[in-house]
Amino acid sequence: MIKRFLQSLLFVCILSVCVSAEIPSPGTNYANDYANVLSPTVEEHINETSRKYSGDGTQVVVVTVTSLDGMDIETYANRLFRSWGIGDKDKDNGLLILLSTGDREIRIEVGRGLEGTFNDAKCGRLMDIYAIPHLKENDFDAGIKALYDAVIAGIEDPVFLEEMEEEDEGGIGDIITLIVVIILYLIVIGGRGGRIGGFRFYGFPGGFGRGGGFGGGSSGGSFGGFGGGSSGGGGSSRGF
Amino acid sequence: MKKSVKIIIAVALVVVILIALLAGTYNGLVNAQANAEAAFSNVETQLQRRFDLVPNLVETVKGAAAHEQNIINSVTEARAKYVGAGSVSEKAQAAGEFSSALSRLMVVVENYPTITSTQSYIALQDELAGTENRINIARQDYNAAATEYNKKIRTFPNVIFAGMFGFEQMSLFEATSGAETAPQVSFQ
Repeated sequence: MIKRFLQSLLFVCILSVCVSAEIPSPGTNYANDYANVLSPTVEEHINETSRKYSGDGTQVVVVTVTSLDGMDIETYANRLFRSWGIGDKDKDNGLLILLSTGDREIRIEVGRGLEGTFNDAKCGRLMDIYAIPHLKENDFDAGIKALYDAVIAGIEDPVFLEEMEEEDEGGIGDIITLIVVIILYLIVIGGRGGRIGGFRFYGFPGGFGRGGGFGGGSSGGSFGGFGGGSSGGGGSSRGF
Repeated sequence: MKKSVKIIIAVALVVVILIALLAGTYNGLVNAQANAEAAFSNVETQLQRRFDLVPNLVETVKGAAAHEQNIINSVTEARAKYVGAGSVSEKAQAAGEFSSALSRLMVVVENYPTITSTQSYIALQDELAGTENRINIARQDYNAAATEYNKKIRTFPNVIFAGMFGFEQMSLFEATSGAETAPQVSFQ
């Protein structure tokens, strides 16, 4: 009995120690650049865009820190997510992009309500494609912007994420690349025998460019605070 | 005559107060128990989710590394063991064994670049790592809820009713030595 009691006492102690570790207090907007690596333009872009998509309680939040205080990024992200309450309380439709510049790690943490759209594999893939190449070059600003825009594109139209999955999965993407290469080859080689007109290369399918177009005027309204959403630990992490 | 009426009223009053008190405590205990049970079922959901990913993993590994049959078997055996586990501590134990078998398999797979470089394997790894994380969080949530409930049934006056109505201690879902080491996922 006493052993039991001591055990639970120990557990409570451990819990309270864990909770007291340094998680920043809730931010005042969607972009929270504690590591100071984002340009004002990108921060503004994130704040404006997230506000625009927050109609049904969806909250896409970006947090950059210099250190995870010795926690693993999964624990840190989940604690932050829950203590801030990202997303709607009932829908749990928040999404957190957490970057630690000191630990060189990035994570997308997804509330349960968005897990259907952003499953773990897709989160990993999003970071692999959009963030990691920039982050490796220490271009945190560009990496976060590209990743954020891709996440927003996925929220706007989940099909974006499906197409992204197929991108280099063999299949259509490769065939189209091959066709494009052949066409370019023909143009270059065949160029001597006369011009082949009419070819216009529109870029690869999959909608890399779809993140654009959110620059619309800053319609009033301010950050209304977090919605009390929670996360069960969905998402994915990457080191870079 | 008058005296006995007074006594009856007094007794009735005491009974009513007792019932109200009893109902309040009883409902409080039921709530705490339900919370802990819900949290536990979430742990089980996440464990199940991990089990569901195993056939995929086994298929992927079998193709390129058929001679790693031993380690593949240990994973499927550990999975079968969990199904047979009854109590919370047995389940925690079995889940821990499964975790360590799984992480051994993941380590072995690292030696096969033909497997690890494929997009489908990276996706599978993401799902496994994510599930592992969900299990951890669900386990912490359950332990917190169970601790809360355990505390409740031991405090006065709940402790009296808890004994009367058979509210028993819930055991915590402790991470066994194996379960702490989640399958390591390394990216270059």
